[in-house]
Amino acid sequence: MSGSLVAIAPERPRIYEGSRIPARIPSVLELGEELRDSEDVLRINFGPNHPSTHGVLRLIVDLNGEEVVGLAAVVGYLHTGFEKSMEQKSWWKAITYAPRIDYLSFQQNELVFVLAVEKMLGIEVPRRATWMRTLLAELNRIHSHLVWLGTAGLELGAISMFWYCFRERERILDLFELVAGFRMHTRYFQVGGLAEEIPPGFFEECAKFVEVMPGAIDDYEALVDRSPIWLERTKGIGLLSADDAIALGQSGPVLRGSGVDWDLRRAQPYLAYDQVDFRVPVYHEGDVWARYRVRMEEMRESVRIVDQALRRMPDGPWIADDRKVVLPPREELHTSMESLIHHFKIVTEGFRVPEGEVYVTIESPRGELGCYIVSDGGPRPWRVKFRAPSFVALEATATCMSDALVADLIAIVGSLDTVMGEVDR
Amino acid sequence: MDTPRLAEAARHVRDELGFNFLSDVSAADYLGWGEVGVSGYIATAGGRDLNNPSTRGLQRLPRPKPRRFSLSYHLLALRRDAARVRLQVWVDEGEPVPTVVPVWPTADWHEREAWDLFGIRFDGHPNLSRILLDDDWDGHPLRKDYPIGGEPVRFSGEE
Repeated sequence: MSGSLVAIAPERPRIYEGSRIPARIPSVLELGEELRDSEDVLRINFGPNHPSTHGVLRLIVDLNGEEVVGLAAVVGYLHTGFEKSMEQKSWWKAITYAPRIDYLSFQQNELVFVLAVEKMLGIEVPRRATWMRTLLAELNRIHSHLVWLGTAGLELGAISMFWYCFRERERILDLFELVAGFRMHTRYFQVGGLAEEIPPGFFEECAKFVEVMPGAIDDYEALVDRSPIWLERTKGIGLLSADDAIALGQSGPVLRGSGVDWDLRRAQPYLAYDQVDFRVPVYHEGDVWARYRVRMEEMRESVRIVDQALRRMPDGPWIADDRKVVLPPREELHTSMESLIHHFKIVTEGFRVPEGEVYVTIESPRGELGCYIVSDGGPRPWRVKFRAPSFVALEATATCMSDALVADLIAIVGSLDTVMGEVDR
Repeated sequence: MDTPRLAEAARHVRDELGFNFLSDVSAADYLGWGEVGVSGYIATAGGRDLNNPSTRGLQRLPRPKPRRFSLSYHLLALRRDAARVRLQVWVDEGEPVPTVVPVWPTADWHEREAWDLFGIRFDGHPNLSRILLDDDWDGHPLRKDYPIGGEPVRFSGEE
């Protein structure tokens, strides 16, 4: 099968003919010639402070009545210079920055950075750590989709959805708190494995969650899945064809909602994804509804993966035994001079990573999350670059927005699931 | 790869080799690369054996880079083998790079970001303006010669 293009389902009807990517600037919908001098066109600033922009996104929108005829996204209001800051920190302190980039899928960001450093070091991660990372990454995916569903529902008038979603989100955050001591930005992944042994009681609590969650997803579906208002606001809105989605670099649920059967967890398995059984939901409609459906089914699949990880969690060490990279066990510090020296060196100076550059990608809740790092052989990164799926998703707003009304704009921007922290970094 | 042939190479890898998905355009500044002495625990390039005492304290400077900036185009082919490839070009200060926006429209914002943070100019880009920083920002902050903590703080009481 190698070499054949992944199904873009030729037998399905095309969403639209040709391409809708704006001609001159791919990310800007420009006013048509005939409207340029029209007095009916109103240019408004949507954001940066608007409840439905999920942060500080500014859209410059040209409206002809209710119709969106021009659009340009302006980003950067949340730029905090994470990448520059990480260059100033030692490798293991820089891990702390990674989760803050995307504050909804924090563990995925942590994970991709740690995986990149591990790839440079050529360090082998124990199986228990790999499975625990898989489990937490999937919990995090559910968490991120829940926040998306809650807020996107809120914007489209499904207000009660928000409370239901945050009910389960709370349980996930409790689990994170139990395992890492923090509810968000856990920094639980360490180069070489996990920062601490998994605390007793975690698996029992997690199993309770796995039992509850499918029923909760049924609740959400009962709320909106057959609601005429919800269907009216999402079906056929924000169309994006498979070819356009690929050309615009879309990934994750947006790409799968456009009918491309692509998931990095299956295409390029990392962690323990080659050993678990899960389905990749694909919808061919390419609209807001398809993206919503993909995320709903992904939550169900994530619950299944968490369940399998719980059942198959191996025993053994939770961090690699490499004294030049990993902190020595606490108790050894009192008895072993060598351990004390290692501890001192790693804490003060940090470990060194061989010269080179790597690019590692994983499937975050928002799509292809990449991390490019360059090392000069020293204890600090020379360059860290995150490939943020939200950043790329916003490039597609102009394409999705053709033939949209101003009310659809909210649904469309919501369906792309952007986190502004990650867009602006 | 030679910078002037980038557009040609981009078309080749997309159309002939099937790399239809541009994942990322990552720029890096190598000003001062290899000038900081490294010592301590260093891994070896061929087969890492950090815990062997003999590799301890080995001094090795990183290999020199051909030019100041590198631009890496991380490409992916959406097919079963999920092949990835990195196109890399090296550019000097002020040297323009041909745009790849006509090949992969997604490069639009990636190239704007490289311009904004590194000051790498892209020839033929339809809308090369700052993206993450203000339009009137001074300098390109991810360059290695950009001072840390040197940005003016507005309304700090000293104005």
